[in-house]
Amino acid sequence: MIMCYSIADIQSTERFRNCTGPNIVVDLLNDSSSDSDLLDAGFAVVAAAATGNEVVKQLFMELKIDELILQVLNRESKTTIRALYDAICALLTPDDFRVVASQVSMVTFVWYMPLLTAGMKLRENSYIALSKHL
Amino acid sequence: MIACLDRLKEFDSVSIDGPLRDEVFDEISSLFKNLNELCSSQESGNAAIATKHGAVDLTCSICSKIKISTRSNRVLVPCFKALAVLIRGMTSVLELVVLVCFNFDLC
Repeated sequence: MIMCYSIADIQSTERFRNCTGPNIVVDLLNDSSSDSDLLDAGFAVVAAAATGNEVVKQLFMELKIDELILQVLNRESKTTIRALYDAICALLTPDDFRVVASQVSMVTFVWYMPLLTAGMKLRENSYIALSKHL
Repeated sequence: MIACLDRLKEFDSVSIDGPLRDEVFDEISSLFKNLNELCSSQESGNAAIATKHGAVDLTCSICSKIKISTRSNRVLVPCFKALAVLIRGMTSVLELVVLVCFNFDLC
């Protein structure tokens, strides 16, 4: 049962990967500066695409999504962008053993952790989710 | 839903190079909202059907043609929302719980 769900999940994320989805979304998010609705919708796509597909996670990391996330966290410290935390969780959760993107991202986030905790008011459950992974 | 996708395909093939008129923006935006609503309900399986009909590729293609401006957010937000729903597919809360349990070796 678990297998067929995972396969169904991977099919749509693989399609997204094949049509250069990660590049398109990250480019648009980089260009759009401060619209919180757009950031929320965009990071929801990141979260959905990164869930269950380690290769997509690696692609996002190569596109420096971690830097983008930190920029947004710094800049939008007053507004809560819910999907941003979903994206962080999705990127940090290892799903299969194809590549070790989530381990790379973990190292990056450990580096930036003091910055995360000091500057920003993280929602409590996101914070718990984050600390679970780190 | 297929009609909705066909209309979006028309817009995609016409190419969105030049400056778009407001009506076109509004129509694409409402088409994506429709798609989002149709694919949101878990039971229907619409998301899977839409993905089979190339909705993910189509949405990516339209996304890549939109340039960021103050107006473009009107299209991009519903576009991203539809894309997220499509990618998530049929993943329900139950499946997510199963997947999470699987990840942490709980089952």
